[in-house]
Amino acid sequence: MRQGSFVRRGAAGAAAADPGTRPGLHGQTLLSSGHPDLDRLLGGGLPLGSLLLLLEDGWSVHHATLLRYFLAEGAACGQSLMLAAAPPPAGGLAKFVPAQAKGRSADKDEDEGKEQEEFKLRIAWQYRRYIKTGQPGAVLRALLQLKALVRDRRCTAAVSVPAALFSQSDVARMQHIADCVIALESVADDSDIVRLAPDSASVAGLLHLCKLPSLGTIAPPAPEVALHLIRHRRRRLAISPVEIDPEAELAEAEAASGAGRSVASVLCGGPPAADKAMDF
Amino acid sequence: MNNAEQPLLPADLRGPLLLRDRLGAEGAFLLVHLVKAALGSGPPPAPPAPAHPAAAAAARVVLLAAAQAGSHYAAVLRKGGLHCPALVEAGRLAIVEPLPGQGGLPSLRDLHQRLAAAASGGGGGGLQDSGSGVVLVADDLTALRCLADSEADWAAFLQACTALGQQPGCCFVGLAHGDVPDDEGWLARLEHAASIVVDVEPLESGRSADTTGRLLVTRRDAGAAAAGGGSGAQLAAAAAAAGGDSGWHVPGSRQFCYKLQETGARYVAV
Repeated sequence: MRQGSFVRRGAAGAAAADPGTRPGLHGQTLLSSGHPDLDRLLGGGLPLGSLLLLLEDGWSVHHATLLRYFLAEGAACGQSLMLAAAPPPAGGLAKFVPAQAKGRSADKDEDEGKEQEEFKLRIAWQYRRYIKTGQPGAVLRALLQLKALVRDRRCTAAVSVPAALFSQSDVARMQHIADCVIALESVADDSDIVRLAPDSASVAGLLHLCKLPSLGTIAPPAPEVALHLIRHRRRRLAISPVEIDPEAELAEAEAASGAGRSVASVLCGGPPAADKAMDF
Repeated sequence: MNNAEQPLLPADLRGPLLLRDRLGAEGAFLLVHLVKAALGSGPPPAPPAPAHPAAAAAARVVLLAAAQAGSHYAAVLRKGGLHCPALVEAGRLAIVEPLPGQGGLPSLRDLHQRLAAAASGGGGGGLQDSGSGVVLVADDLTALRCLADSEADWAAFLQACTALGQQPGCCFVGLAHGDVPDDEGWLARLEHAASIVVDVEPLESGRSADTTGRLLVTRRDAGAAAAGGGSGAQLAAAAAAAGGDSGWHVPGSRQFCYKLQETGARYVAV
């Protein structure tokens, strides 16, 4: 699993950074989310001691894919991982993380015990268990407790929550508690945004960048682009800003009407029966 | 940097003060402004001298850090020119972190006792009883609401904090999020009890190069000049004679635009 796209040049005399981390702004140390496009949206990665909240969409599994990227990056960097999910994935953490993560570093981490404070810890958590028990308040308390656990420590947590199963108030509270919030949304194939996007066949969903981390800063930065497209590329997900082709709808309307000719060709093309050899 | 003609907030901070923000227009930057003003290292007051020198003197600040870790506030205040370790050692600043790194979440009753002890200098926060005012800052109330076992428990905690802020020489500043529909009830009660309410709102057109958002500052009480009673005209005359913040001794609203910067925010009256 390759690292994020950021590569620091020079620094020959600087202290060696912990594997899988890179310096960020405001004295932060960043961890890659495992996906270079997502790292770019987050300003280089997730700060140590931060909590990422993924608001799931009931019609897609992109949240699980992003969690896999997150954990796989940690495994590739030799970091300690913890996955809390209900029901637990078949085969456990080793099956949930992609095959490339299996290796000596992953086995070494499993043998190093629970001295998590001495290692960079990634935590992935799914809150479905709390929903089944009918205790939405327990989810908020658990989220607050998790945030207290990771902050000021060399670890980062990613939490996915099915937003549709919570009240608007609870979702708002969770967004305020988390340091970074990403909402995922599925789209219908015949929706306007899919029809007007270039290469619409690859569009798999939308990603809303709701909140960026603000550790050590006076206020969270505003995302340059809040809405992004999730695309299925050959063997990976791609996340790109929403781009609309302004002429796509016009071309579609002309094709549907059978005219087949643009306005310019109608105005400048001469009479329909003109000899094409004489047509300028 | 404030507009010298119209300061963002009156110099005589007293009673409960409600900061209300929303996702996309976070108001935590106002806490830095308030802490700097309370510690006496904020921007100089608009001339002439404020009406209440005692209120403008450096006060002690107790920061209830529920939203972020203490290191976050230390970093942010350092950018604003405040050295937290020195202030803590001098007894002028105490940071109370209610969320433990390990173990269970505390109860609101225990939290209030820690807060009261830090405010009175009885221990826990390590403040010295210097006799100056105390400013209690809670960041943020929406996160603290999650610690409540019931509505009554939360109402009691809010009432206790409000009462603590209404003591002579004290001020209670609470940051809350106004985009949580279920919290409208206690927010309305807190707004009713507050002497000043600051609403942080995004611009309808989104952020621009010059402006990040908008502030609506509402003064709901008549300030210290009204403590001895008097009509609105008398209050205004007293304010003019004392040379305090022009107009801030009369209840009313003011609108500001703010621009976030690395070390703080700039405010421009609209």
